[in-house]
Amino acid sequence: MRSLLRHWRTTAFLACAALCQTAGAAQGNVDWASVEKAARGQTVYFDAWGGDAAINRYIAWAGDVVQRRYGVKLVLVKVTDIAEAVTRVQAEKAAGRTTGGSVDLMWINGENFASLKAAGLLYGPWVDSLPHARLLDASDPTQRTDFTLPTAGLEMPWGGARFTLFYDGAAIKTSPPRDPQALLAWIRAHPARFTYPQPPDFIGTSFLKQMLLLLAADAARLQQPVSSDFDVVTQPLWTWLDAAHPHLWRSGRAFPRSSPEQRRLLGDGEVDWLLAFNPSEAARAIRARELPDSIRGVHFAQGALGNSHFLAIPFNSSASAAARVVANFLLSPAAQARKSDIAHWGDPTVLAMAALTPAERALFGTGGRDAASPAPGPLLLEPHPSWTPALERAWSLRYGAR
Amino acid sequence: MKGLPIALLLFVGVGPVVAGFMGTVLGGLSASAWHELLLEPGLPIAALLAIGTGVVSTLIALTLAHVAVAVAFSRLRHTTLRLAALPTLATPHVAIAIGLVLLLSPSGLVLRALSPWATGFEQPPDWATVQDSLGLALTLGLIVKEVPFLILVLLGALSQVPASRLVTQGRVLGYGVFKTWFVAVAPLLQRQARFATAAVLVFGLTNVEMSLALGPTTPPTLSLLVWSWFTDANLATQSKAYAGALLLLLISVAVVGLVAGMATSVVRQRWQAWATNGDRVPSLNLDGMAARNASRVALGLGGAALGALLIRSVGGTWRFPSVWPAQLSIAAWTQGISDMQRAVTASVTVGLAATVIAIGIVLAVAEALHDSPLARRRLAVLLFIPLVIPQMAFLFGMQTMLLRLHLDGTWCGVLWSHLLFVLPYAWVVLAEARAQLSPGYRIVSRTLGAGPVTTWVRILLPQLLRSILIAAGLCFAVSMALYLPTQFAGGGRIVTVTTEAAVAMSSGDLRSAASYGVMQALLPLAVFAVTAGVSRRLFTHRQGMPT
Repeated sequence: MRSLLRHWRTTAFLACAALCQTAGAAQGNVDWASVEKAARGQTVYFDAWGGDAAINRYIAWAGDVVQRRYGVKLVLVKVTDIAEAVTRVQAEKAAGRTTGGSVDLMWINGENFASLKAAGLLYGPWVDSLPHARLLDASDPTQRTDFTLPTAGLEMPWGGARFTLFYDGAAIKTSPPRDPQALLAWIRAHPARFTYPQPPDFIGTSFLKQMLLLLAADAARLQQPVSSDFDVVTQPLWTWLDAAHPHLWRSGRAFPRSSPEQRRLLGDGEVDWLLAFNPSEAARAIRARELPDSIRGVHFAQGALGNSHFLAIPFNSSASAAARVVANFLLSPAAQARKSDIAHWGDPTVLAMAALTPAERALFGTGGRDAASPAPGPLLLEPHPSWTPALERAWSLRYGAR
Repeated sequence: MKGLPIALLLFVGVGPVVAGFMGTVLGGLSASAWHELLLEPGLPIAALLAIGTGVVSTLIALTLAHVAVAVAFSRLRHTTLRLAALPTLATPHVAIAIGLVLLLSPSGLVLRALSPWATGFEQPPDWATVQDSLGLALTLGLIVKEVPFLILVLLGALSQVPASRLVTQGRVLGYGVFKTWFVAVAPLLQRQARFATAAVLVFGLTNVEMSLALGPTTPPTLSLLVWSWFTDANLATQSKAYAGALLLLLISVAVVGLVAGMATSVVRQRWQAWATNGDRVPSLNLDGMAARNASRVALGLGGAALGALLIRSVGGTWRFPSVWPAQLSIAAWTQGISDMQRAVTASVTVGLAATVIAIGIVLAVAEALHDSPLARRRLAVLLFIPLVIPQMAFLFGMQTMLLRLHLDGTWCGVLWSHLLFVLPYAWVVLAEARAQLSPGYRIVSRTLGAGPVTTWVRILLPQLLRSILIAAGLCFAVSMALYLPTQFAGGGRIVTVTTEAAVAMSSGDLRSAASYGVMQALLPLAVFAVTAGVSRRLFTHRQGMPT
C-alpha cells in the first residue's frame, strides 16, 4: 500500500514538475529553450561507476524520462573507476580529437575533477545556467568546493554523501564504537570481523581520509596541499592501521575489492561491518534483500567525512546541450526525490528544502528516518585532493605487497 | 586472385597486432617509465605469482587432459568426454571464476553444505580459500578452465595420429596400456597441440579476468597491476603501464621459450630413456590413476561452478551457514533486463558476425592454399601471434590505432578486435580439413565440366560442412569469452555479457555477476547445440562423410 501511494505521489509530481518547467520556459528563458531544442535527438554517453545495480536502474529510469520528454537518448557507460573515463578524455586530447569525444557526461569528484580542471579538459562553466540550479543548497559547503577546489560552475552537485559505518546489530548488541580508539578495541576483541575495501578503491581511500581526519594532530593541515610533512602528518593513521591490521578479516592480507563486495561479505556473514558513503545504503540493501534487517548505521562522533558528488561535461563532448538537459533533469525535485528514496537508490539530495514548493517538498516523504540509517551529525570536509594519491601510494607501499 | 583473400586475412588478422605492438613499444620505451615500473612495491612478487600460477596450472591441466583422453580412447568414450568437456569449455573464464568463488570461498556452497554439522562453524571461518597469497585458488581456476580446452584439442589431434595401430603394437610387445599410450601416442598428440599449449600457458601468465576473481590482492598478479595502471588517470602511471605490458611480454617469451626448451631437451631425454628401458610394469594401469579422478574433479568443478552461479543469481539474503538462500529473488534477472538485453544483443551480433566473417575468409584462403602446406604453416604462425603473446602487449597500442581511425567505442571496432582471436581458431579447424579432402573429387568434377565455383559449392562445401559447424561453435564461444579486447575496443560503449559480468564482479555485486555468468554459459552452449543438431540432421544418412 505504501509503495502504491509513493508511486502515485511520484507520478503526480512528475506531472507537476513538467508543468512548472513549461511555465518557466514561458517566462522568457529563451536561452534554455534553445538548449532543449539543440538537445533533441542527441545521444548522451554518460560515464559512471557501474558497480551498483540499484544506481544503474535509477539511471535507466532517468534515461527513459529524458527520452520521452526531451528526445535525448541517455546511454550509461559503466566503468569500474571513473579514472578510466578521465584517461579516455586525456587520450582523446592527445590524439587531437577536440570534438566528437566519447564521453558526454561524467559522474565525478575529488582528484579526478582536479586533474581534468587543471588540464582544462572540462566544458563550461555551465551549471548556473540550468533552470534548476537555483534550487541547490547554497549553505552546503561541499557543493561549492570539491575536495577544497572551487567547482567554478564546471560540475553540478548531484548527490550528497557522508562516510557511514554499518554494523550487524545481531552481532553487536551494545552501543557501537564511535571513535578510532573504541573501534580499534572492538577490532582487537573480534578478530577477522572488520575490514575495509582495498585502496585505491574510492571507499577504501575515503576510510583512510576519515581516519586521518580523526587521528591527525592538526586536521586543518589537510585542507592544504601535501608537502614534505606528509610522513609526520599521517603517522597517527599508520600507527592505528598497524595496530588494527593483524586483527582484520584475512589478517589484513586480503581486502574486499569494493564496498559492494564488502556488502556481500556482510550479507553472507563473513564480516560484521560495511563502509559506505551513502547513509541510506543499508536501508536500500535491506529492502532489496541484499542485507538482513539487523544492520544499523553509525557515524563517528567527532564527525563524518562528507562530500558531494558531481556531474561534469568534457571539453570535447559533441552533445553538451543534451548533457546539460540531462543534468538539469537529474536536478529536478522529482528526480532528486526518487534518488533519495530507498526504494530506488537512497542517495541524499543536494536541493535546499526551503527553495522547494510544499508540493515538491512532499515528494521527499515525511523525513522520518529508517532504523538502519544513522542520525545526521557533524561534517568533516574532504582534504585537499593531493592527499588522495599520496595516501593511496603510501598505503600500497606499506600494505600492498606482503 | 589467389592473393586477395590472403592479403585480407593478413590485414584483418595480423595488421592490428603489428600496429598495436608498435604502439606499445613506442609508449613503453622510456627510461623513466621503466624506472617507475621497477620501483613499484611488490613487483617481483607480482611477477613470480604470474609465472607460478601460469606454469603450474598449465602443467597440471596438460597432464589431466592427456590422462582423460587416454582413458576415453581405451574405453571408446570420445563422445562422452567431448560432452563432459563442453559446458566448461563454452563458459567464459569470468563466469567460471565467479562460480568458483561462490563455491569455494569461506561463505561458499562447499562450507555451507558442511556447516555447522561437520565443521562446527556458525560463522564462516577466516580462511583464505580464494584470493590466497600463494595464488592456489587462481591456479585451480585456471586448471578447471583449461582442462576441457586441452581435452578437445587433444581429441581433435587424435584423428591425425595412428593411435589404434600404435596401441596394438605396444600391447603386442607386452607393454601395458598406460606405458604404450604415453610412450607412443601422447608425444605425437602433444606435437599437434603445442600451439594450443603455448596459448594456455601465456593466458595463464597474463590473464586479467581470472585473477580478478580468484587471485591475491596484496599484491595482485603482474597482469592485474598493469591493467590497473592503464586505467589510472595519471599520465605518468600510464607510461608505466606500457612498460609493464612490455615486461609481461618479455616474461611470457622467456617462460614459453624455457618450457619449450625443456620439453625438447631434458624431458625428451627422460622420455626416451623411459621408452627404451624395456620396463613392462603392468601395475601402472589407467583405471587406478589419481590423475584420472583429478580430471573428473576438474570437469565436475566446472559444472558445479555453473550451478553455484545459477543459485546465487536468484538468491536474496543468504546468511552463512544456510545451504539455500533465505529468500529467492529474481530481481537480478528482471530488474536488469534492459541492460541484459543490450549486452546479449551486442554479444550475439558481434559473435555471429565474427564467426561468419572468420569462416568466410578462412575458407577462401584455405581454398587458395590447399596444396601448399608450407604457406599454410607460415600463415598459421602469424595468425597464432595474438594467442601466444600477452593481450595487453598489443591491445594498448591497438586502442590508439582504433582511436585514430575513429573506430574506438564502435561495434565495428569490437568486431575487428574479436576477429584477431577468432580467426586462428577458424584456421585450425578449417585449413586442415580442406587440405585433407582428396584432390580427386575436384579433378573429377572439373573433368565432368563443372566450373570452379560449382565444384566448390556442390562437391567441396558439403564435405567441409561438418568442420564448418564445429568451427562456428568454437568461434562463437571464443568471441563470447573475450574480455580485454572488448573492453579496449569498446571503451565501455559497447558492452557485452562478458564485460558486464566483469564490471559486476570487480565491484563485488555477485548477484548481478552471477546472472551475467549464467547467460555467458547459455549463449555458447545454445550455439553448440544448434550446430550439433544441424550436423546430426544433415549427416544422418551420409555416413561416409568426413568428420
